[in-house]
Amino acid sequence: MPTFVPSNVYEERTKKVLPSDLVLNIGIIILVISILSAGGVYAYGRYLDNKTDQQIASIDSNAAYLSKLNLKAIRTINGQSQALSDIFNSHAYPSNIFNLLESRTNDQVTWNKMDMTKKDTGTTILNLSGSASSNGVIVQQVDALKSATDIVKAVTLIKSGMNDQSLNIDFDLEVQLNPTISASSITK
Amino acid sequence: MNFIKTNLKYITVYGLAFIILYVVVWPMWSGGGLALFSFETIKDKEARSVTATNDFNNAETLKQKAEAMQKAYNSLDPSATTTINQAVPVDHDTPRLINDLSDLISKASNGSEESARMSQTRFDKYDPNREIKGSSGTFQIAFSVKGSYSTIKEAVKMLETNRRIFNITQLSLQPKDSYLELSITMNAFYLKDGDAKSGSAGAGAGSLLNSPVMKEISLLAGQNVDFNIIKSNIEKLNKMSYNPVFVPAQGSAIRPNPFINKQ
Repeated sequence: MPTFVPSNVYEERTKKVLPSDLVLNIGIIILVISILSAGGVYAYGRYLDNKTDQQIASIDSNAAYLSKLNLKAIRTINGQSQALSDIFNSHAYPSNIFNLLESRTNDQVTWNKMDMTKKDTGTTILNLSGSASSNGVIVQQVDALKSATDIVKAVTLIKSGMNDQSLNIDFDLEVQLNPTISASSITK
Repeated sequence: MNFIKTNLKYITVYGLAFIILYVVVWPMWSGGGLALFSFETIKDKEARSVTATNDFNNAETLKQKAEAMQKAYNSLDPSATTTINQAVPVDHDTPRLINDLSDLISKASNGSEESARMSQTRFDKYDPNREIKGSSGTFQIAFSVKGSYSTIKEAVKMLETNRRIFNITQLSLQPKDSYLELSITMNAFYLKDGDAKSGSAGAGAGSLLNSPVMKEISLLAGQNVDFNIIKSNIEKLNKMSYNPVFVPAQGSAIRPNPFINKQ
């Protein structure tokens, strides 16, 4: 193609201008990227703000909805039920002692005092003070109580001695009861 | 100067890009660079957003749990609340307790020739040492009853199976004149206010879940509310009846009152 520019001048200008434009172009690209990234960061920030606001609004809306539920009543009945579970586990049925004494008291023994104590460990101790016609009767009485293995764990003679007035033998027994006294169908 | 003039466009382009990055983008992102204003950075917003997302998810989970609990609560028998309130009231309710005990003793003597009499009712103050682990408030009642052997036996049976539950811890029986005197110490129970509040909160400090209702649900979620156990306990209460562990063998001789001489 015919030209009025001498070929050597064209080549010289091309050599000088092209590298400079490239640097400028790169600069412009960086500038554009900077502007875009500034916009992007701002937009991302707005997006995060909106998302968080929506979530907070949703939590508030849930709270408003849930405040209509009867949560206090649920909390109360649950607390009562938990208390019941514990109470059932430690509930004792000492009326069994009456059945024991009615069926396992020797005809020649009379009880003068009965004390039942339920210890914190769950063991129940029955202290019996009685009066018997002879030492042999006391042996029979201890054996009779021991035979009630459903309820009696151990029987210990604490003391015995002649009563000068009645001429009977007064004696004290310690009866260790099985934990079954605390058991019943309602706790099982 | 000549250099600036010659390269002004490069300096402008690169300078602007640098200023935008150093004064705007970097400070907005993480607070670095040259922040001319104080504002919430993207990193801060992201952290807040993560907290909000976690709280949102927790709130949704808690909502589902609360709805399920409410549904289960609604499915309970209408009398369930009354039953369980009678067994473990929400306060001591001692006036009603004394009245109920007095009625119970009177009922125990029904049918017998003499009437039983309750005396010396004593209520100990609540003692934390007597508390049954993790559950209810406990207080002690001590009283004496005078009456016949059969009346006293019946009274003990009725106390064991009373709707308001008592746990007899001490029992002493001694003949006095023509009667027997029974001294009883027993524990009665009530729901302490703190019991219903125990449990671990799901929301952490500074959480968005600090509204009272969300705290309430968090507490409930921490309590492991199990309506099967609640139903089972109410059923046990309804079935509560005299149920002797020790039953004398059939045909065995019975001493109607082993506290008087048979001979």
